[in-house]
Amino acid sequence: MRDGLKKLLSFAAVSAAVLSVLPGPVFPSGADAAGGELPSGESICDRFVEVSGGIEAFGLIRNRVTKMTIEMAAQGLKLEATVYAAAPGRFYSIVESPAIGRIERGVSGDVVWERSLMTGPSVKEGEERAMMLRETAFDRNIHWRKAFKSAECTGIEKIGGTDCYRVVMTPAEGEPHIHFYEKESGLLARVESIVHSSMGAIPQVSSLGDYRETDGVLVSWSVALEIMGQHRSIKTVSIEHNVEMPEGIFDLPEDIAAILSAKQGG
Amino acid sequence: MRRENSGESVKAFDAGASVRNVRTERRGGSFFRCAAAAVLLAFAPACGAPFGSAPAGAPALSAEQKELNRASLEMVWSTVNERFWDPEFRGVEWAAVREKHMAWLDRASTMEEARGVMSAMIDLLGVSHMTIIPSAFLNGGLNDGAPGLVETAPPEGTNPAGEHGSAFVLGHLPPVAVTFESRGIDDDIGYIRFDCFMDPVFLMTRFNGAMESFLEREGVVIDLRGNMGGVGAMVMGMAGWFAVEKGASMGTIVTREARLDLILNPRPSAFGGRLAVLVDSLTVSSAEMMAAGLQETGRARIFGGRTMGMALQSEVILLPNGDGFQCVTGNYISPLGRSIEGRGVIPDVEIASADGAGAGSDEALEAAVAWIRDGDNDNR
Repeated sequence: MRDGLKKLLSFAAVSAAVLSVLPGPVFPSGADAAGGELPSGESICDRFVEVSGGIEAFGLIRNRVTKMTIEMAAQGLKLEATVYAAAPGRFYSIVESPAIGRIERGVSGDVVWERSLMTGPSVKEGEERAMMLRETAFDRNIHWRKAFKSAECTGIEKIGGTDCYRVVMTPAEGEPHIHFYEKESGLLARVESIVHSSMGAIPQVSSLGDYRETDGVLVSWSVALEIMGQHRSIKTVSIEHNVEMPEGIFDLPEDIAAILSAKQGG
Repeated sequence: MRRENSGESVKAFDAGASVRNVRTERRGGSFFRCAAAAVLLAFAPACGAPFGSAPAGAPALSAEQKELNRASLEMVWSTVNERFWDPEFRGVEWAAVREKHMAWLDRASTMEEARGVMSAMIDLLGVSHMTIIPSAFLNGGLNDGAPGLVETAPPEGTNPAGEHGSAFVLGHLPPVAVTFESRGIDDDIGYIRFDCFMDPVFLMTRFNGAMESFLEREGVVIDLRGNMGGVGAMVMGMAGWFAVEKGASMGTIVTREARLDLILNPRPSAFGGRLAVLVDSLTVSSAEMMAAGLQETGRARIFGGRTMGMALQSEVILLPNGDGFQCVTGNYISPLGRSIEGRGVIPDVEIASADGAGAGSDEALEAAVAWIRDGDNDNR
């Protein structure tokens, strides 16, 4: 029945964490589509970094705590989530509500794990693990050259009435993501991707908006997520940078360590 | 009366069953004893003829209400059009039904009639979990105040003992209180019963606690008789206590966009003893998925009566007129590739009295206990 719910909610939390993005200034060279030629994908991505505040401003951010709400209005559900992230790729998220209990997900070193009251503890493997490691890299869309091996602009499409460059972002492994950057502002407007879970691969569309300057960088405070025909609205409530993280927040939980130990014959 | 089933009998049933007929036959009067299941499955009667059933004196619809009803029928039609798992709509020419039912809706003079038209439209698909829910039944609906707590009444003759959770609300559904019971049968067997898969904080905490206390027992009995189902993710969490290998699946949910495998996460200290599952004709939805998954992965032996055969993924959305629409979005396919919808789970050991054990006697439970203790005959 609502078994897809838990999975989708956890996807939403991850997506929101990953999609904290930023702004900046001008379009680099004379590569505008008005001249008939498309700019290179690399220049579009670099422009996004610039308009988001620039690589130096992002370099000053070591960690981030984001609190958000996830609302599925049609289904009458609202959840609260908190995401702890730190460079270069430490990650812990918690989504909680009486409707689903508690779902925690984390990346501790190279271990990707999940603890869900409903489905139990698990250590992620295969595509799901690889995807989580890629997606939880800190400020991935800023340090995009580390996350993607290529960025190719394939055209201009209207997203919500606004002209956007369509950029195919290809990671070292896994399916390409399609990014849409606004032609005029340079901001990232939409991401189309495939989400991998232990249950299977699911297409997802994330629309970003409500960019706000936050500690010297531009961050999207609103993400509309379309997944399996459901719409969910993710609103950021607060963002804190360079904070004292709770002790042990990125550590492996005991039951996850026990699963790993059993797996290794310990 | 007891009968042991073989794989052949299961296959024979598969080949001969008409989904629609089985469903109709099995939605008989006794089903509606289970009030909570009725919340999910039977708010509005499906009407072949949508008019003429309005109670005398029912208030006439205003022009605004008629517009809202039109918008609601449009939402119902388009939601099915975009999200019903079968793009062939089970043989129904879905594109054609919208205009016809919209014309009927324009003739509706009361809310009863309007709901009847929408119900008639979705009933063409002939599946469970597809219902128009009057606003008065919804959590936070348009009625005066919140709806009352839905009591989950145990089937007659079963043990009503157990701990009751508090009112739990999931989205637009009315509040439900889960009943959970766990106890030992002598010193060698653990027994767990609950009446729906809702309120995960209450239910999973107790289920996990019970399983931790039963780890050293010879066997465990999970009693799903009268269980109305609910949040299917809990099926994976519970079955993880009995998983012997990573990657085992309790089946697949097929939606328009994806196939979702119900993969188990084995618990760090899983239970390795015998597992018996009790079912009956009031075992519904997620409870059927759990029984089918454990049966077809060879992990459990199933005792009792054939289940309801209403195993689909659905969700409840709010319509512009304030009513709810429970819409099917996925079909459950068991590990061996069977659709349980309209068919049900056929127990390994069928017991005719499973629906209502006589006072002082519970043949299904007794058979399960005897099988667990007779450990030499069958490894499952």
